[in-house]
Amino acid sequence: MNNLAKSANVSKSWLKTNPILFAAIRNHWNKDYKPAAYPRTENERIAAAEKYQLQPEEYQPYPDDGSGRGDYPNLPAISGDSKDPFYPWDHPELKRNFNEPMHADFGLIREDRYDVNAKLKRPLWFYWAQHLGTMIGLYCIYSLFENVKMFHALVPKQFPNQGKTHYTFERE
Amino acid sequence: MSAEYDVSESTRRLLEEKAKRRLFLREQFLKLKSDPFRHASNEGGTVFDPALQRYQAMKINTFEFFRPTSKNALIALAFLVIPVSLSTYCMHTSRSNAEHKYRTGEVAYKDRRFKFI
Repeated sequence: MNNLAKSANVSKSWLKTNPILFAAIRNHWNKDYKPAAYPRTENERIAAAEKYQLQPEEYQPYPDDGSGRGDYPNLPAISGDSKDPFYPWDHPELKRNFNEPMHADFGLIREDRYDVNAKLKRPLWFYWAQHLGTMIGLYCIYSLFENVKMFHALVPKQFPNQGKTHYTFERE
Repeated sequence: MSAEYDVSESTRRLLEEKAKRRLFLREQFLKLKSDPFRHASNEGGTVFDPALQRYQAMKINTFEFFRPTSKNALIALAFLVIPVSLSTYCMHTSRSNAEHKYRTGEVAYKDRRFKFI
């Protein structure tokens, strides 16, 4: 029994000295950080705004339509590409400050993904028309000339002494 | 008062409050980042960011507040059920027709597609 208690102690101290396991097992569980239910009262709204480091005026939860985001704030979508590269960010690699609430679609609007605030030189329909016009046009040309083959005009090959048998493969 | 600024009084107050909070968090971050006893706390060297954890926890806990609604059903149909069943149907019919042709001898062996898989 004493041995058992000792080995339990050993594993506990090993856990204590292993930073990765200590952080993952003993701290920062998702259950402690998951969003609460959609805020119904004014007090709940203020508490949620404080939790997400927002002012109560700017806090706006996602509509309670069953999409399951609870009280997570509906933040303005600003892509990484549209954020100021010269601002002294706490995390320059994410263009993000410490404890700044993250957009619910952060995975989409990261710097290496889609830029929702892109300032395009021309309207979007122009680019779609350009792309589809090229692809459909190339396909039309391909399918037309796949059916209508064209060749250079040729005459039959001309050899000297045509019609004369020089050699046969028959046995004599 | 607000005539001095190009924003309304309430916007100005909101921006000032945000700047104050940002300053507080920046100081907190620098304090945590430069804490010489941080490694002794056994949590690793990086500063723990609660907002990042809240984002991750929200992403994996959406099932908790999920409610089946017509909008959710439409999204699931449009992006999961219809594409998968349509492509399954198209693939199954085309491969079955090709197999039927091969087995009834309508296609020569040399003209078969996907001969080696």
